[in-house]
Amino acid sequence: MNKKVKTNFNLKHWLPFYLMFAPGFLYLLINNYIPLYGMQLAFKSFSYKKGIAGSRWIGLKNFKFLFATSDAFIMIRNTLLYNLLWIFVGMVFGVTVAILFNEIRNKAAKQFYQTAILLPYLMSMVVVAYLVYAYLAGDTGLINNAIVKGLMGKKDGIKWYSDPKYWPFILTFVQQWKQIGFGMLLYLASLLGIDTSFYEAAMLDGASKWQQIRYITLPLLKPTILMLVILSLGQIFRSDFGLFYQVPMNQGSLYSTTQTIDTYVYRALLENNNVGMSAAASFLQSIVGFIFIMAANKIVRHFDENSSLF
Amino acid sequence: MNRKAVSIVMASVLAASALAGCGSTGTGSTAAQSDSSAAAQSGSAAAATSAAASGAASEAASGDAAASGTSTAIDMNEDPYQVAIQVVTLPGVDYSTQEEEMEKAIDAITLPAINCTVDIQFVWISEVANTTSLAIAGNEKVDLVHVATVSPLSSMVGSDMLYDMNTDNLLQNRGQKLVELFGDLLQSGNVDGQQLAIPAKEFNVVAKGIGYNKAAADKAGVTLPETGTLDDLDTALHSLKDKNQDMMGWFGGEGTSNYLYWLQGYEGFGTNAAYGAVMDSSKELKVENIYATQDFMDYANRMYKWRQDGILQKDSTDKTSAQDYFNAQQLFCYPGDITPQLDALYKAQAVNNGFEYETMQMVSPKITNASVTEYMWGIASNSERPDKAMDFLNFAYSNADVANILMYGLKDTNYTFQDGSDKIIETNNTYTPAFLQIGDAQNMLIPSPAGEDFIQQWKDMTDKATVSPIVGYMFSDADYQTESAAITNVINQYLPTIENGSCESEDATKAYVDEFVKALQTAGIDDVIAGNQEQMDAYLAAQK
Amino acid sequence: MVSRDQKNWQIAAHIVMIILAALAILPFILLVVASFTQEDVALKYGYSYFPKAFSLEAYKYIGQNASTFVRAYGMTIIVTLFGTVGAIVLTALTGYVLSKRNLPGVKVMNLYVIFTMLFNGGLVATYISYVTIFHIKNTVFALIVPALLMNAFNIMLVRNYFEHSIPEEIYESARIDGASEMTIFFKLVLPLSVPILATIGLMSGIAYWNDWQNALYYIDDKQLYTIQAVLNSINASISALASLGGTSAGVSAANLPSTTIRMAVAVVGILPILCIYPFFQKYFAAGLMAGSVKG
Repeated sequence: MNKKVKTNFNLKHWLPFYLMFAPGFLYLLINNYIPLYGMQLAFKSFSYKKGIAGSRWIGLKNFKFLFATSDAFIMIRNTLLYNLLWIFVGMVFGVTVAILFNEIRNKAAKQFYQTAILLPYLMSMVVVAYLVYAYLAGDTGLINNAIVKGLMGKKDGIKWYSDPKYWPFILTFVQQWKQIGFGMLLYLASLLGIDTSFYEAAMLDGASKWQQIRYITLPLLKPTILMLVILSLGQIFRSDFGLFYQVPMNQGSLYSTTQTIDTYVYRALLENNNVGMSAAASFLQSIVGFIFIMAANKIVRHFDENSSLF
Repeated sequence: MNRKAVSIVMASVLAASALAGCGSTGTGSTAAQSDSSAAAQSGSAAAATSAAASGAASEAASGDAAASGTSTAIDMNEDPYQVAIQVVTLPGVDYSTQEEEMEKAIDAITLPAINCTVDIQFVWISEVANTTSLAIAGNEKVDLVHVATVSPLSSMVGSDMLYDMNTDNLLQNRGQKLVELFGDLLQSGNVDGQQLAIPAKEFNVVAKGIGYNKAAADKAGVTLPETGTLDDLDTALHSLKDKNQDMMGWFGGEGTSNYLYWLQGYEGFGTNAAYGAVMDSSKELKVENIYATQDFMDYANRMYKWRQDGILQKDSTDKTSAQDYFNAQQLFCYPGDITPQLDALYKAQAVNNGFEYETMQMVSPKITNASVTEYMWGIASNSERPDKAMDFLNFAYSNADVANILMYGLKDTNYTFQDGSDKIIETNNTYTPAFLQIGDAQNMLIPSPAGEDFIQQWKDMTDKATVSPIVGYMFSDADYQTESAAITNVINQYLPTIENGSCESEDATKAYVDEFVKALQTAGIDDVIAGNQEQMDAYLAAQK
Repeated sequence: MVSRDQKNWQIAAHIVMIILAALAILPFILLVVASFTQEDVALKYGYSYFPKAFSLEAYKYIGQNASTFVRAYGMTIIVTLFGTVGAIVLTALTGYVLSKRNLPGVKVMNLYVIFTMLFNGGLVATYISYVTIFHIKNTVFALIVPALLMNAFNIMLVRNYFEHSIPEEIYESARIDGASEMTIFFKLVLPLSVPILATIGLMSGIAYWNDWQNALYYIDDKQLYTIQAVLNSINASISALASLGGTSAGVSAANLPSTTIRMAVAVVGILPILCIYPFFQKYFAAGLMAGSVKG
């Protein structure tokens, strides 16, 4: 990149870019930055009459409820572990499926597959929860009736909704099932952007498909993979509320593996709908995400400057 | 009937002029009024409102308003104010086609009487809480708000969403009919000396017990007394089980509410008595942890036994609602409130589903804080003219025609009178506001299947009822937000297992309840209960 | 020139995709069948692919409010169309600028964007600012602008594509030819970016189609409701009614066929996309092929 030689700031050259950035800048200003003044609610006792600015400061009191419970450890552990697991699993599945999908030449088949695996992504979590229930219900569930009692010949079905030990698998399955179409799409765009002449050259050299993937596809996908990982680390303290609340059907006995920060906050605030306390929880999630994303970016930057986010 | 026709013609004439009036003058801003001034100062929000209220007319109006806050007389010379009133409906329905006509019909009555017009704001039940809080936050037009069902008083007190109707003695001066109608029950909407809401139902008495499928009971030869106990229910369910294997006797369901509330009755504070409960207010006014009582332990054991005996649904994690099973005749009974209104409704529903509905009362009729606060009206804290909102509300309880239009819609369009009656109506289900309680029921229309004796039934029940000595007391959880969060979570975690009797054994059930109680204590329920008792004692002392 | 190796890969790919497609389609079929199942049969035996009795009850309930639904579909289509086009343009512009690593201040600009992924002011503040400063309440803008028009994630995705998939030489040669930056962007870069733009378009399209929150927060006038907002409200109300339980507030709970209607609601929400999707995909696929440039 010989542009780097230029040290003088060349406004005429760069101005068009700033202009092109302006609409996006404005949108984020309106949509995200102006409302940020609401973050102060985390430290206030919100009064509708006095408004955000006029409400009373109460220090860190809003944060207390997050740690006052004996379940604090469980919900933080669950949130972190599920997120880490899913970042990894999602990446592996997404890349694999995208590569395989890209191999398929038959156009009609391609269209069919892509439409099909996007289906779960289109369903709301409430509906997903009911479908999962249709399969897993203790008495009437399809899996118990067809597989556990039918094929395996057991007398009693498995009580999926009363034993927390099944839920890490169930939740992971549902999450991947729902997201795979979307995940594939993310990587597919990058795959399609890869210059085909690389592969043509490799084939002339007699490289096997696996070698092409290993030495061309994966290295070229690396920036995308790293970017997605860093971005998801920013959400490490958050969780898909619908997935953790709706899918286990709010079953108390499953809390040890299904309670996350978001579900706890929701349940905790059912009674009094405290705006300040939910702002506090969100603030904490943001701070932790911020720390993770900065750290991850720094590490990536250290090894590979081009793949870092900023 | 001619009167109606005339009124509609008049309505259109008057409304036309009213509309013109509104358009030109806007709605009088009352920024000058004492309490709303704080809200008005919150920057741009206020700027937006005063910009909306146009011109010099609003200045004049605001002067008048400031004065009228304390007077009892209605100023008939000012420009009519449009009072917004929330009407909660089922989702999907859209009454926009008849909204204007209804408003005109009401305006025709209210404009000459109390110099205000109405803006009906239809809100779907799932959106009430959101719509109300955001509208208040955004300082939009809201006056009379639904304080019930999904946005109960307890969820609205802590954050200044509601206007204090004691300001300038507003309720006493402009709400005479309400004061007369509700009397001491007004206390229920009084939180720390602020009148934040007023009851909406004229009859607040509620009995508790179970509703059951009479047809199935007859078929199995099971008889249930009109008034019974938990043991009676136990016997009935067991004999039903012997005769009818297919029907579930009892359904624990989601387990998110404590059924003991309906079976034995207690006056709880917070959802599922999270802040404790008074077990029997006629005996001892002591706040207890319901989950630590022997009654609850017995109940937990009974549920376990019912599971073992096959009375409960087979799948302890079944998530269907009890009412669905009941309507499909797969469930024998379920607990709930018993009132003449519900009776009429459920009986009709059962007939539609091909069976007969009957109730067994297990808790005698009472007027409690819960039954009064179930439906209330509030005035939004950002209301421009709380005085006019009060005028309208007061008027709706004095003038049955206004309340009838809100409750049942328009004659001929939405309902017709039953032959030979000017009271009983047949609705055609084109207008069904689901969660609306307004007006003085004694003078209002009665939708069939309820009959002429409907009001008498209510009165009889009220006569039999005991009024709880703490009917006007509400626990303020402002200092216990952290504990509240933790307790709510614990109850959500443990209660479903107990409601469904799904522990391994009797000993395990006992151990589980103990663990539950311990978790509640860790969450701080004892502190909350102590605080509750203190507040309640103070309340009772003040009452004397 | 299809080698054996390539053939094996193709077979493997088909097998994996068939499994995934089956995993996706089987539950969907269950969803459709469930929506036609008779309520009490569903209650008694659970949902099954071969229910003992069919019923149109759930659709009848929806049909009662047909006018609401038809109008809501219309709103959804308008909003999705304009929203998606807006999202593509805005995201592409922003992402393109950020891909210029030499641009002075680009690091700050990147942070400016990423920061929005992490911190948010919460519903109350967002609502107040949109309603009192920008006055979008009860306008069609309320359905298009808040939250959905552009997000940091998509910007990063686009930026990443521009950065790594479009060769620098293209810019160089264009500049030598004297093309302005705008010309380069519109005439050169965009045509080369069809794959990522199609992806962004698809994602935004789905987001707009599925959105109900904007309507819930910013729209009071039911005439402006989108289909998902209506459907979500029905679902939420069933839950609300269930939670009111045995209290007398449960008055009208029984007026709703509660279990099968959720399924019908989902079908009504998804089916139109399924019908439209193949057409879009055809168009996109053509674009994708054209976009996967050689050099």
